[in-house]
Amino acid sequence: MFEKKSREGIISAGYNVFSLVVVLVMWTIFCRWQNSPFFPGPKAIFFAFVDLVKYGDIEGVSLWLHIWKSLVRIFAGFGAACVLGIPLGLAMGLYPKFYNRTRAVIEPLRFIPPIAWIPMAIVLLVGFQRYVFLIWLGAFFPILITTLLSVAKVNPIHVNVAKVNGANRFYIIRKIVIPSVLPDIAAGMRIGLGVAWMCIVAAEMIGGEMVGVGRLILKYAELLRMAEIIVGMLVIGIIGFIMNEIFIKVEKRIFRWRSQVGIE
Amino acid sequence: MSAKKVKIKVRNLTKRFGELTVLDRMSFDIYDGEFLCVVGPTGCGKTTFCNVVTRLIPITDGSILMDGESIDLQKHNVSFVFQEPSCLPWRTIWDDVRIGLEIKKHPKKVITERMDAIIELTGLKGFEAYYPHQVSAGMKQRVAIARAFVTEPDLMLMDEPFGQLDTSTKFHIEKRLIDIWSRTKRTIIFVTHNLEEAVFMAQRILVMTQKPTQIKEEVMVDFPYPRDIRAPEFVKVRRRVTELVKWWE
Amino acid sequence: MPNKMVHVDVSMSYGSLAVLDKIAFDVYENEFLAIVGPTGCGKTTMANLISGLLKPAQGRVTINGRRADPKVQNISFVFQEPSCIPWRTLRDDIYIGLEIKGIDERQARKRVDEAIKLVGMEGFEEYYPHQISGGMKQRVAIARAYVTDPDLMLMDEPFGHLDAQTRYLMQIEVMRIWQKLRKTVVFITNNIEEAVYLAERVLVFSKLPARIKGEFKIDLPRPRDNTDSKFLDIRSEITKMVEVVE
Repeated sequence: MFEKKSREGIISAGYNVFSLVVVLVMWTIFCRWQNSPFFPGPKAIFFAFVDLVKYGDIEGVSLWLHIWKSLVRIFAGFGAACVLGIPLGLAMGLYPKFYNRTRAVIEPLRFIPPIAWIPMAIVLLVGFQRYVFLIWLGAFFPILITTLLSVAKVNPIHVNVAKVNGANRFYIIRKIVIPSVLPDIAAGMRIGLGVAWMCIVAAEMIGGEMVGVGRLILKYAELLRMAEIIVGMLVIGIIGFIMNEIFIKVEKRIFRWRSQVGIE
Repeated sequence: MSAKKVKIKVRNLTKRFGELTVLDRMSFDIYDGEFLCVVGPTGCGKTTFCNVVTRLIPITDGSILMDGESIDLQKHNVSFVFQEPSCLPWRTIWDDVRIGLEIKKHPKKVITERMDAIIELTGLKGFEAYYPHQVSAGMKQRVAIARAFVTEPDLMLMDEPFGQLDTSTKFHIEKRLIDIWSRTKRTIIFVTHNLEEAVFMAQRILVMTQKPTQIKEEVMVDFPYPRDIRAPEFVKVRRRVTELVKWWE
Repeated sequence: MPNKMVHVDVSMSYGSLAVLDKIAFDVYENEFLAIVGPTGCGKTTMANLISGLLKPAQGRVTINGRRADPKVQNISFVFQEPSCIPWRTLRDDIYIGLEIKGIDERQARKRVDEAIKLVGMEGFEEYYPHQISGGMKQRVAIARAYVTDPDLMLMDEPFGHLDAQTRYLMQIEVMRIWQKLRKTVVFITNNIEEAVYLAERVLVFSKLPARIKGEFKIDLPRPRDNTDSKFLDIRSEITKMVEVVE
């Protein structure tokens, strides 16, 4: 049975590589056909990437610094979203009246896209705060809602196991509810992180500093240098992908006991 | 085993959900250390009965007194083996069985002693570090049983715990349960729809009616363990109970 | 001499896991055959092979001389899990097999009504699955299985999720219907009492990899009494053979 699994893994990896190659080939052909400076081929993009790594961007700022700065902002915003979102979500999940009676305020806020907050962020906040705020907005609501909903999914039988032994409410929350909802909270966090990462470009558009992967894209957008823009986009995409994968692996490891229910 | 001391007095037990009366003035005694089976037709409110007797939901009227006092989960030891598998997925089998002792804050020495004994008795030795998803359904129910016995309960309630197991597993676990019960002398109420199972295990059977549920009749099952389902006395009692239950269909 | 309808001669494995090991038997026309064995012993795989939903790794299953294939023969399957389609009324649910086979609508409606009457669900035609009990859902599954007038019926632990009493009622129902229509039925269960109550012949499968451990012919008159001494004797013999120590 196990050889089958790893064989499947190898086949899958093979197909992935194949898909990448196909995309690259099609792209190259398309570029040659279009022959436009606004549509660089994979080779041009690759060289742009190499240049960015070797010499930094047009102002000499290194690619790694851009990436680092963005990551710091993301994790600050994401961290703030977790710190606020998880306890609040738990509280609302445990006391449904709290949620039901505040929905008129929460729900409309939830549906305002982070981008729409940009003017307000520009007026009210400066520097690092602006970034953190927008990123926080992206991550907060997924985390809040997932956490909230996860409480309702706690199996009442597990609660009864503790109740019948005379456990008080505090014990039940600590030892039954929280272990039950952790996998769902983790999934919510992962989604929140993904959304937060997608807000990076918007955040860095309005943020003050000249550093960050979003900022990188904007710099080259002003110069109409497509190759570098695409490098920026790909960097954002790949980092997001890596973060997600790491998260999933950690989830799988910590929540081994969940393998009876399939995760994802 | 049949020390006729009354441990629990149930008087006029009534449970209503709004307009609907599920349990209607049920009155009966439970003797110390007995194995009592409660049976009834499908839909007779047995789950409500279980939840009310174990105080997981409040009574509407009437009383359940243990040694003269109303049953209090903080004070008395009550155990419940549920119909569905109730293992906590994030705990190893050892930690799961231990949870009652943990909640009741027993000293470590007591915990270790009791745990070792119950793990041995329920045949879970060697599996302590496993997680529920790694073991079979029969084993999960054994964990639930171990968890129920280890707190040395004043009252144990079992709600059709073997309903989802296949025939041979069921027979084995039933025999094991009788064995553990006779050694530990716990007071057990075993609720089931399976009449053969009831006659196989009970010293006394209470037959419930359809909703609004009352106690219809009491049937004594006086033969020794282990019982033979083919023995004429067994068949006779089984037929009697079947008649009593079916009457209400 | 009753006609041999289904001929089974298979071995089956999933990857390196051998499930069925040289299983060979026949099913006679109009007979009620039960297959018992411990949980997870490949009984469901056997059912899937007989219906043609799975192809055997080795050997073959033939029905009336031709390879088992759901597109060729008319086979009905009743599963353990409730299989009612949530967005269809019971009548439309039972109708679905005929709909797929393209039967003329008026004819089909008539057969659906007959099937509903057969399983005793008159009055519930317009109900939705979420409005009825587990036992009733299985009755609908049985109605659906009968309405296509199948050559062969496969029932894989159909009453597994029902409580003991509903289960008894369903067994009586199945017996009543079978005595009326005499379809060929292969009934899989791990409940030996159920097998002895229903079947004329019982095959006992062993643990994985499954072989046929034994065969019992049950000659008792119907309706059977599960407290009758002969019944209990047969049941006890089969139980001993199936015995799996936990």
